[in-house]
Amino acid sequence: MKRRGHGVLRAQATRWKRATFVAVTLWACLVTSGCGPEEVVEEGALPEAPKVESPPRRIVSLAPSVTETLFALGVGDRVVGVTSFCDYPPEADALPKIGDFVQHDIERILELSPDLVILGMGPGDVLNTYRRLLDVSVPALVVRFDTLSDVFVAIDRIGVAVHRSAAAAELSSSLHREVDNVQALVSELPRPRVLYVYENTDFSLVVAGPDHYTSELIAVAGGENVAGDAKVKYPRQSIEWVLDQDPDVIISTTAHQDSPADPDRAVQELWSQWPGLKAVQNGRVHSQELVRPGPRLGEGLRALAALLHPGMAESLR
Amino acid sequence: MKGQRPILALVICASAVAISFLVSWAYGSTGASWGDLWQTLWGDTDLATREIFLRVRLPRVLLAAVVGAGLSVAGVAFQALLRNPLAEPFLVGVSGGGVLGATIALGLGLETIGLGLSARPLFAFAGALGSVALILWFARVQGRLQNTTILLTGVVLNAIYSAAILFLTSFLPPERFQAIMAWMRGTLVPRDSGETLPLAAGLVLVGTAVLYRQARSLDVVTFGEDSARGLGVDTRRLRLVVLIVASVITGAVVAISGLIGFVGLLVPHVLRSLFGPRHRLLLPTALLGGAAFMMLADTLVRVLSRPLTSEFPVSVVTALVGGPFFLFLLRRERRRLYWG
Repeated sequence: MKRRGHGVLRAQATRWKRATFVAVTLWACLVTSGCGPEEVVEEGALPEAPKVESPPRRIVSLAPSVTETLFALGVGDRVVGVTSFCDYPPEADALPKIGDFVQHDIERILELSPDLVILGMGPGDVLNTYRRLLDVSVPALVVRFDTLSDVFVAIDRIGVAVHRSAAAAELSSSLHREVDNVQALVSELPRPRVLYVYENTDFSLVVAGPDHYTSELIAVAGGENVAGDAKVKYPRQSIEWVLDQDPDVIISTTAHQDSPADPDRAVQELWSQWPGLKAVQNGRVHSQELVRPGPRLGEGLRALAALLHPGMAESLR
Repeated sequence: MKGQRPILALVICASAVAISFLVSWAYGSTGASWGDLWQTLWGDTDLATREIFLRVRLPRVLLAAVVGAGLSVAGVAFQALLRNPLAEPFLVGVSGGGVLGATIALGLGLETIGLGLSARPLFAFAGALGSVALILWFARVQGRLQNTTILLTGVVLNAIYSAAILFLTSFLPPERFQAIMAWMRGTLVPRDSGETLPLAAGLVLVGTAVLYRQARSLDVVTFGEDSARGLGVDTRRLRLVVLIVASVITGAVVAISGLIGFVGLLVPHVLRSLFGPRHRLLLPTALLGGAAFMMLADTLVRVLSRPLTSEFPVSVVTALVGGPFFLFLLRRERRRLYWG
């Protein structure tokens, strides 16, 4: 599943879900005739950070958000291995790939003789990989990027582990500033009702529910998530539900389409078959791949806020 | 009234279809209900409500009807062909073969194979046919089809198919992967702007008609091929016809719906116990009863998606209802099943 690109990145969560699908659903489907996606991101505390005496020189990253953070902290030149989903910055894309979210190839990790492996919580059995790494005495750090506050904690933990605490603090505070700026700009404005679509297969949709990164970003960007009161993080919904909700703005990833040259147009064309929707009538259907949680948080947030409040687009740039 | 009043049986089944259709149309994942439906048909409503009834629910209800009818008739055909009360397109691995075929078509990105023929149903049919051939080949012990071997063959075929699909999907780009997954789950989502639905409906109806012409022979064959041959039935030809027809129906249904199990088991059995085992009556009632059952099962899914705030596949309902029923039959028929 190589990334196909027009320079936009998919939300991490979508991938986690998809990867979970591979692991769980596929097998189960033929045997039991069907089951739904599972939430495998584990709750609870993360394992303790390893004691790293000297600055690590050979780092392996097992999550795209981790890779981005490492490069943002200025230790990109010490990264020796990444996952097949790590495509930003471009230098990361050129590094040796040691698996994806679900499958961590311990043997290939060891082959790179790392002195630090950083794992991101996801659908794969991350904690098992962590334990196996400890068994062979490779220092390993587990971080989580599920929510906005997770991002700051993760940046801090990674900063400590790679001996770049100062850079991490600086990155965190600049991200905090960006979040505050956006919040200040939109706080007085009316909040449009937003539908965020992760997957769209013949208008059977997977949308952003409550309590995770995307829904938090929508709130900060001054929007109200129409699926905000759902009971699951990634609800499956039908077009009937969308027609009933009639959101002001529809934002959709294009993961379900064959890498369109003009993603905005592709999404608009797809949705134009439902002219009853306010968002379609008012031309407020957009494609947007929220950049993944991590150092580019501010970028994604500003882009999202500009879509929700077109009047503020100038000041948000 | 077993086998006594065919007209009455047909009237009952037709009424069940009509009622299920209306209920299925009137209830869904939103509050739009009878009043709004009435308004949509004879009055004036806003565009969104119109779309919910005419463009969202109606295609899905019709899809459910065709899928249910097809699976149920295919179930009748397989039960006669394999002379096994537990045979059913999903359990014996025929649906799985269809899914594998369709996955290959999707994986290759084949939309059509020229002449305007849609690739997916064709590949699904090929997969279904291949499965039936394999079952007939492997489940034949000393020239006879063994009950237990048929089911075991189905289990193993399903395992092999899921492995093949797992392998294939590992190399697919995300957008195709999602399309396959959505459809492996066995959801009823109208696709391809509904173009393939009329085709599938046509295939199910024609297939049922062909089977209906063989109804008497099917009755005889159910008692055993030896006696059938003794009564002058060309069993070889009959088996070929039933095999192809059942595969065509299964392939057509799988191509538009995915993997939905137990319908072909549940519906024919209930109908047999109500109206008797004669195929002249069983086939048309299975067509109607399957449609009614599936429409109601999908209505349940759509109505429940509101409180649950997320939709689950209809295959969950059919498996949760059909699975226990299968076990019940297994227990009841175990003496018969003891190695044939």
